[in-house]
Amino acid sequence: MSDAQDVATVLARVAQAHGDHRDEEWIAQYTTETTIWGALAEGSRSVRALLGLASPAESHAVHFQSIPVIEIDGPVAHAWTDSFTVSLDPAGGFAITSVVRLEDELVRDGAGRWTFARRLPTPLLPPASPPAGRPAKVTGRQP
Amino acid sequence: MTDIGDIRTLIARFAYLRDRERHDQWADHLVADDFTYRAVDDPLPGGGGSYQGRDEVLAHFRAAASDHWRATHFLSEPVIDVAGERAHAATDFALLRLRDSLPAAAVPGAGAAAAHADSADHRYSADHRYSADHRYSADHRYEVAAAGRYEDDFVRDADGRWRFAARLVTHLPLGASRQAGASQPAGTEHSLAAGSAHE
Repeated sequence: MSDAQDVATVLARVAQAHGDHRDEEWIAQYTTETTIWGALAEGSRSVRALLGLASPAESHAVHFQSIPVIEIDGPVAHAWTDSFTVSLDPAGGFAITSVVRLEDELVRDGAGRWTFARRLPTPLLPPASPPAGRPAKVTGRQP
Repeated sequence: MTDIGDIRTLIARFAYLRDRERHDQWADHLVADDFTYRAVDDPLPGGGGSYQGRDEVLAHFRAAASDHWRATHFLSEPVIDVAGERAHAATDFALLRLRDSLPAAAVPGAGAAAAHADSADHRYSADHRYSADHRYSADHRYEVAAAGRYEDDFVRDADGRWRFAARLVTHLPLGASRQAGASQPAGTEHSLAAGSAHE
């Protein structure tokens, strides 16, 4: 399998494990020092704290991801993926409960395994003015 | 990468750039000079029509630019057929957007204005971002605005890169949703069938 396919599989594996609440499995896909939302998460507990806060509305959820745009540069990969979450609606039926853009940086370890070194999720929200003194957008590298 | 892998990435990159309204980039790099674009049954105002040539298509998309991220196209795994220097792909899509048709007061749960401020603030802070986002999301403010299929034709240019030659967008016809046994719009049947003229 190509590097791009390997990275795509990691992205999909994390989305499924997250939706299934297989926490140890998706957390294991992160490096011991991962930057999430621009903050350094050291260790699995920090990763869980930053990414694992599921609300009751998403106790049963499926995360759909778009076809990722992936660029490989030696031992580093960048991926841009859109994601939405379908959850059970307490009133019955299903509801789309989030739409998120994901910007990821993955690194290949000595064993050839790709793991997350940086994840920047940006949720789709109504336009709002950023707080004073803060950037209007948090963006990283673009493809 | 294989031809199919290249084309798969090309389709994904086009969606990525369109959703982010980086129209100059897809126009410069992803489509042929004589690229044609046609949309059928688009439920969004001004979304339908037929456009010939890169500049005309680009003008169409620029005219619809909003400067705000309001919607995202999600694509299925494409079915890609390659025949020499040409290729065809069929890809289903759904357009998800904020459900802005509801007045803020009609949204259940916490006040919408407060949710805007809280969520935007949490987006930039270091704690409980997902909690804040999900609190907002639980208000069910997303909807499927459109869905359908892309029928794409590709050509391999002299530089070896695949580019879009044509895109036909066939939307699920909302107007037919209440009619039992609604049929496909005239003139598009061939594009949805296996072994179509696009191959």
